[in-house]
Amino acid sequence: MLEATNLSKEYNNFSALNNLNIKVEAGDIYCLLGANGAGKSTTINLFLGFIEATKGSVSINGFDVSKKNMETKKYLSYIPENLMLYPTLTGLENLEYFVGLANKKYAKAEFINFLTEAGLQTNAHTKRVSAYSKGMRQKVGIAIALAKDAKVLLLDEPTSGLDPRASNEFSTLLLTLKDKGVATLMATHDIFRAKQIATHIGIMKEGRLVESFKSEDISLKDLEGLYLETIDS
Amino acid sequence: MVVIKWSFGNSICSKKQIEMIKLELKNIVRNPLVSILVLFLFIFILFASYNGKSRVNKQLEGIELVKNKENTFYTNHKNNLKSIEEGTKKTPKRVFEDPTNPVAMGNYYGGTYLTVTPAPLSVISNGQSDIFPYYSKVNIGGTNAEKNNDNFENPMNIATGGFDLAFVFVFILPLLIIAFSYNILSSEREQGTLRLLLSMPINIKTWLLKKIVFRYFFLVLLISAILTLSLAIIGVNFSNVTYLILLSSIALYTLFWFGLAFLINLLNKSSSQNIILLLGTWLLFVLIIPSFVNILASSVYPSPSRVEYITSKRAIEKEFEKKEEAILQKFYEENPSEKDKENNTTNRFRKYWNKNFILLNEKNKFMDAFESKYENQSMNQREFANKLSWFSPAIIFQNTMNEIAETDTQHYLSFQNSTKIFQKEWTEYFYSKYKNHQKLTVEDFNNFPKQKNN
Repeated sequence: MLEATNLSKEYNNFSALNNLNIKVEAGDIYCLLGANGAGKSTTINLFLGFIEATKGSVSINGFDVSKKNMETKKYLSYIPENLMLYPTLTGLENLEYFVGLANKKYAKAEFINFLTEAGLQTNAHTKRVSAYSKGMRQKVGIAIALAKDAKVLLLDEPTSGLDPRASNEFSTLLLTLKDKGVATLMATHDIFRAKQIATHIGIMKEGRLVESFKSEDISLKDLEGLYLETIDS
Repeated sequence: MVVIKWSFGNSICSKKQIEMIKLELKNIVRNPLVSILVLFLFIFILFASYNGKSRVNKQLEGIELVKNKENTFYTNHKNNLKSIEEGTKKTPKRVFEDPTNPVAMGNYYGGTYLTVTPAPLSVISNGQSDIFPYYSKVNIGGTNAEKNNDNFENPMNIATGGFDLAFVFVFILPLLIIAFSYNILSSEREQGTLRLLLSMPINIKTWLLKKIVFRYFFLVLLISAILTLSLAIIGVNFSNVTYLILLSSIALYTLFWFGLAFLINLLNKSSSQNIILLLGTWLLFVLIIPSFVNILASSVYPSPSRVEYITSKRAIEKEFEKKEEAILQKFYEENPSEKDKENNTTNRFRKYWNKNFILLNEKNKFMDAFESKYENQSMNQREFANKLSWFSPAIIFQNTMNEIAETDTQHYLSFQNSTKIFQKEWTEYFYSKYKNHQKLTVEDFNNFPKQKNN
């Protein structure tokens, strides 16, 4: 579903990403771990088509992102680290607006169902987003992904700054989407969350993917050790 | 379900798109700044309409005043004439009061007032109304179309340039458009919604264009509604084609500024850079280019100052007075029959007017030559400035509104021109009576030359 082949990105001779190869299948959650500047966000931006690769290619659902960017955006949903919505519109109106941009049609009741499914409490649906917490905005983001019927979910440190309860709720939502066959690529610093929900884990350092393994093959303690070892080496 | 064909973006305006438009509208209307701007716009437009209306009312009062003066004069004399014809009154001794005397009725206290009737939409622009008079007294002695301006202005109005609708639309409206559109794209980046937006399968330029077009229609409809409401409150009749022309020119001018805002949004700079760029273009188009055009036009075709014009006019009148004897001499040489007539006349009044008609005719020619020199110069200047006006839509728009209000220079000049032509007709009428020694009759009073069109 999501594939990066020999992917490299350079900025003025500085290698931000070096020969990255990853593949995320439908129903997989791939967690990218790594220190700041390791190239996690660069990878996600390349999948979004916000930046262009220096070498190699990225594809979503079999479409090359650099050539069919508009097509690939139909299948993906993106939740940035700090998902921002229109503050003067309500959560429901924001959902309607963004889903409308994605050219999907739903009845009002269906929009409300998406928000409920994403775990946003009913009384918040018609409140203006200016009063929302980060967790609530992210739930709207998940509702957008649900309504857009996204096959791919790109997440850039979505749980940073969330309280443990909100973080837990978010993880549960990701697992629900996983069961629906969504392929998820998530950049995160949260080793605990990664071990809890990921099917695959990769560790990045200085633009290279240095470790990649199945989540079930490693314990949380070993993962932490491996992470620290990789980062410090 | 309402389905409207929507030419924009090749898509059909379906229920979903109506929903999207509703959301755009909510996004705009819920911004508290927008309600403040709308309120200010309404106050400005209402106040400017009121100002325009009071100027027009003053003009109408002035016209009524002079017309009354004229009517009183001729009605009184006509009644006197009736009494004289019936034999109940004697012909007055004083020649100026004699209603049967064509010169007395066509000159001195007699004469007619030509007036400029305000256009239906005159309220929208002061234009040149504070410089040119809207009425002119015409009699055998001449016209005073160029100099007569009893229209004492409130000095504050002259100092501030007059707060009329043209000012609101030419100067303030672009600022409102800038406030409405400077940060359409940059605000998305600054409030953080751009990343989510860019992850949607949309072309961001098309998206921006749709937003701009939406805001354009929103503002044009809003202004049309506010203007119509204000004119209705003030009591201006706007049920005419010119009003549609006015609304279309406002829409075109608004389009120019939204187009500019679209281009500047496309530069993808920050909100503060956008606003500086847009205010810069505002300064350029609304203030700098118009003053530059004025400076250029007056240095390429310098026209004398009003003071210089009046001084040299006086000088040339003096010069003519000195030459009067010589001119008469020359005239008699060329027309010996007039000289004989002159010698046979004993009546002092007729002796004077025989000469005077000749002199007035010669003086008109003399003064026309002098004035056409000045007029040519200022006409060249105006034509040059008109050509340069294509550099700024603000000038074109201002000129258009002056034309709609009929307060443009051209309109006043053609009034002055028609005054001169009418003056000849007026003089001719009374002169032919005078020449043939005819006394005026009551019937003649109904047939005095009258102003046409107005």
